[in-house]
Amino acid sequence: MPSGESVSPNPLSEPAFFILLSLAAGPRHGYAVLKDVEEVSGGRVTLSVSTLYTTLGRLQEQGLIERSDDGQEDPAPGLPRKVYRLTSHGQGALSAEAKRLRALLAAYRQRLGEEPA
Amino acid sequence: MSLSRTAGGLARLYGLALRLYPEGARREYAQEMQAVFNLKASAAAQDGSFALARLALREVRDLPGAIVRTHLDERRAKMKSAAGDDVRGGPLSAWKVAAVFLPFVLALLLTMDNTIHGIFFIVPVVALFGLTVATWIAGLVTAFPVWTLPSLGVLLYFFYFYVFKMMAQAAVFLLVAVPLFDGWPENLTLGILMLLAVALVTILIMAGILLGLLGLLPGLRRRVRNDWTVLSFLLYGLAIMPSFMNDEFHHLEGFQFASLLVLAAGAGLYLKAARRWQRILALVVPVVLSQVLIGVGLYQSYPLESWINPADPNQRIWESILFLDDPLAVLLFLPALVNRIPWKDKPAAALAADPTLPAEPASTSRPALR
Repeated sequence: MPSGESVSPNPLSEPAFFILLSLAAGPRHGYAVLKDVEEVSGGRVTLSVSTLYTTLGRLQEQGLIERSDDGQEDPAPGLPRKVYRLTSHGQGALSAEAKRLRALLAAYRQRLGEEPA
Repeated sequence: MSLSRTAGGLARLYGLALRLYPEGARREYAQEMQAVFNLKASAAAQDGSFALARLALREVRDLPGAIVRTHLDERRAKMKSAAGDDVRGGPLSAWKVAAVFLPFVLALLLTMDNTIHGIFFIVPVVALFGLTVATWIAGLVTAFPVWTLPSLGVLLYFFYFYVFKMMAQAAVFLLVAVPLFDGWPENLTLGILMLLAVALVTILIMAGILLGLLGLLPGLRRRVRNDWTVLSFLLYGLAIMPSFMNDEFHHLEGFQFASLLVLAAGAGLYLKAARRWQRILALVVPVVLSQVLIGVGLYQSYPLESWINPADPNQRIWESILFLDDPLAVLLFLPALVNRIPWKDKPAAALAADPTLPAEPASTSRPALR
């Protein structure tokens, strides 16, 4: 079990879950997170820039992600210079959320005996 | 108009909308948000007008809520910071230090009502009183940060003097003085013992009040657990009013002024002190000194007043020792005892995650505040 698994007893919001999921693959710029969330959710979740940064700010405050310079001395014009990466607490929270969702699905299957439509 | 120009226009509008974010978030994220929006707008422009319209509508839908949430988040962070600055040892800004000295300055000004007259007296008094009321509100709303404590102590004094001490006097009068002496004793020694009895009952009442306060305010309780002198600093504010509340004495201003200067110096030393014993000493010594100064002042002034009673040889002594029923110096140590109560608090992990509480300090001995 990851060390920070118990840090997020509350359900994650959908944007927060997908952002953490995106960062689980590695550090990314804000724009890359935006595109990746759309891709990983199969086009179902398209974040606005405002929602992206409000959520990134909160996740950062909760210690689930961290923000740092991207290490490039001369970043490409127009590209944001900061990257976001998952912390061990963030990994724990993501894992705890997946566990919670699995438990919900298991309860659904147990009661209705079928896959959700 | 080409789509790329429309995208540029949207980006400029988005830049204007970003100005509605609070200053901290703007400084931290605005440049990055603008850059990401520019990229999104450029990409959407290539996908056609429908994609561009969707991008604009999505932002129009989400932006107001995001701005409001960010304002609330920043405000909450500021409140947490304000509530925790005294245990984290962060430096106080100049205006917060000024707020600490505010009640002392107001009291000093009030002692000069015979020296300064008219508008030069009324305007600063009204202005300082207004600021004191603002400090009371700020202190009550932001869970008693250190810079509001002396002012809140003044507010507490009205309850202390007109309710708690009255209760103590009534209890000693009804339960001790009346059954034993048919009223307050004339004898000086017995009278002093009655004053000390009132002081003792006052201490017990105040212990109950402090327990109630800490029971109601878990954030304050946690800070007091880390440094109980925080609560002593609140009680320190009780010493301000007695220093200039002797209206019937008209030759006391010099003693009152000196007494208040000593108290103000104590507040300054408290802010600078790094160790707990230094902080409590910075409060106790000035309180004792201010009470003694007023006592000496009352003794010296009594013969000069027009209303003296020459028939009562003890009256001069009575006037000068009346502060004995005001156990202010002892009250400053009361938080140390109250702090030993084993509160049924949340576990440490839950407390750490509680957004309404300040962060746990690294050590119980905090560095100087300034």
